[in-house]
Amino acid sequence: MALEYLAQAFLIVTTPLNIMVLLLSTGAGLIMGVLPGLSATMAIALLTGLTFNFPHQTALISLIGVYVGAISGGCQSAILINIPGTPASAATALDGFPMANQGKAGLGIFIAETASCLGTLVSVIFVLTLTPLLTALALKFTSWEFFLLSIFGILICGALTARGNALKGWIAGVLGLLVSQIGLDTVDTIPRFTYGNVNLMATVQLIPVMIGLFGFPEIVRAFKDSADDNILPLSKFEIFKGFGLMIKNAVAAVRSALIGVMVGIIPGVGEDVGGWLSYWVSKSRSKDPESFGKGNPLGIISAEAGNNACIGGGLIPIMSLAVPGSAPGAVLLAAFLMHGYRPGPLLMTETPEFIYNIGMYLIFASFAMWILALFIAKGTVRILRINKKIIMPIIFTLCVIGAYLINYNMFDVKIMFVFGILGLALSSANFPAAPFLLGVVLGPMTDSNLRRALRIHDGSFATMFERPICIFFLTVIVFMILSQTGFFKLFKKSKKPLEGN
Amino acid sequence: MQSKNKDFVFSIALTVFGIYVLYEGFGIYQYAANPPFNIKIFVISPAFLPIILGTILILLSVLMFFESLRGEGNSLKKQRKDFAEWIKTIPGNPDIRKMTIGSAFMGIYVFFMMANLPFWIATLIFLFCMFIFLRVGKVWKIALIDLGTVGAIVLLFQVIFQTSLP
Repeated sequence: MALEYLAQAFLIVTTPLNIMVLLLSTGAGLIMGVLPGLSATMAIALLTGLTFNFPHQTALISLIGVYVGAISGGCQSAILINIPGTPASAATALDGFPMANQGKAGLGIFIAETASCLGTLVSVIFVLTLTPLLTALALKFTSWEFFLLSIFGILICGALTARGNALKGWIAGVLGLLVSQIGLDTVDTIPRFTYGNVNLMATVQLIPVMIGLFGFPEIVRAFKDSADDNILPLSKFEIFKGFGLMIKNAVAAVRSALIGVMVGIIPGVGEDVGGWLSYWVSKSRSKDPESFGKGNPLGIISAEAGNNACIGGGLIPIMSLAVPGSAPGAVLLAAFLMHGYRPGPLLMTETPEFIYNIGMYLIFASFAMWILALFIAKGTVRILRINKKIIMPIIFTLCVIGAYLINYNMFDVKIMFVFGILGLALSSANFPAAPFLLGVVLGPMTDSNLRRALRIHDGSFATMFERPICIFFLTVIVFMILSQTGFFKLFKKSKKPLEGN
Repeated sequence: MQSKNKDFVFSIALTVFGIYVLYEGFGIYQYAANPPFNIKIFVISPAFLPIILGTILILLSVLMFFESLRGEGNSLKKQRKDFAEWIKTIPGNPDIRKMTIGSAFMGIYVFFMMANLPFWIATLIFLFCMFIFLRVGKVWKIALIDLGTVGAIVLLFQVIFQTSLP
């Protein structure tokens, strides 16, 4: 039966109209992903309105295409201008931008897009085959696990991005968590840090914060007279070398994709965590971890395979539980509902072909993305050859539009500006922006799950230590804090005199 | 400003901010403890996480403060002196001046021009002023880029995507 559904889906997607729609939507998604400030969430939201009158399957194809395109496109600006087009690509910038500075921007983009394609394809296998099993695992998570998972994510991100000073990364993460506390609290709807402002009561929106933190500092720095106006050299894709790197790092790429799928399945944890976690695992398992952050291709491959695999992983809880795995997933869920589908436990009974259709569309979208991304990359590089002082004010205008379009509210534009100034100040002192953003993303999940767990267990933390998954997370968290604060180095130092004696 | 000096200044600013968060946090706790909410148990209060975060921020900032004083010649007195000297160099630094004026332009665009003018007029004026300020080329070239950019934005978002611009 499954093969029959897949064959039907293949026939649907290969009609000339649907192929054209797929290419157009994936291309639009790529462009949206490339442009800093225009996110996957916004791309899907914009397209949902545009495709409202389309036939259902054509609309689904366009939504999947734009989702895959937007998540994959973010890597190009991360590599070429060190501004992740979407939060999902933040980890890619760590090695992508240094690689571009070495004159290998083309190679960087090629391996990033190939890894993205591979990540999506691996995730499709899980969408189609392991959905029930993985959903059962995600269902075992209670509030304690969600709380610890978010803390774990922020600590990893802080340690990874602060370039040897985890303290700064963690401070940035705490600041992000504090920003997420603004607004009515999610459990009792009590106002926190709102100062009577109605806009603040609705909490600070993620996208304006992201645009401000990542976009603004880069824009303002380009105003300097002494700013480096050297245009990144237009390097070739080096396809054979790129494939060679992919084959050499195939195990790491598949491992990152598996991590991405697992992260995507967990509701509330999106593509950004998938990218970071995959990057961290590859770095910690590498024989040469020092080379990460200096243009290591494995860093790019891991981050991109990880974040793109979250697309498929994120679709699993959407389809089986009607719970979105990320912000773009939430918009996609709304779009599915708008087109008459009812994601949730009854989906397989009511529309059993749905899951296979989505799987097939993902396969086609990932190949379309891979081909289109390489065409678009040439254009992206050409844009960067223009004087940065011309580009940056235009990008600021796009940032303003991006911040505005989330809620059609000028308050969000002002928030973007304020967080831009904050981001500029923090980046001048080498505080990384990524853990700050992750703090804002995971803050509501951290707060609501912590308080829910404490409320259920009469204010006691004891039950947290009775759960195996919690103990695993706690062990990793403690190990990470001790390793980053140099505790193990102290132990080694105290051991040396004994050896000498 | 040297990296250690920046850490010194930021650690003090962040400690002060952490203390403010604690103050606000206890305010939230008192608010939640009173009717109609009556949430008097601290760990389930909405103030719990902000207070914990404020405390962690102070702890991490204090650690960073002591880190900034570590190493030869990084005494408290030297850090204060370096900071005072850096403040004096700001008016004469062309990069800081350009970044400040550029940011001010963007602030005016966001807070005043967009509130009082249609989007396309505000953007035309903003981009023109920015390009002139950054000396990106001749006036005719600037005008051409300006018109082309605003035209493309309006075409893409208002005509193709059918969204309303600010």
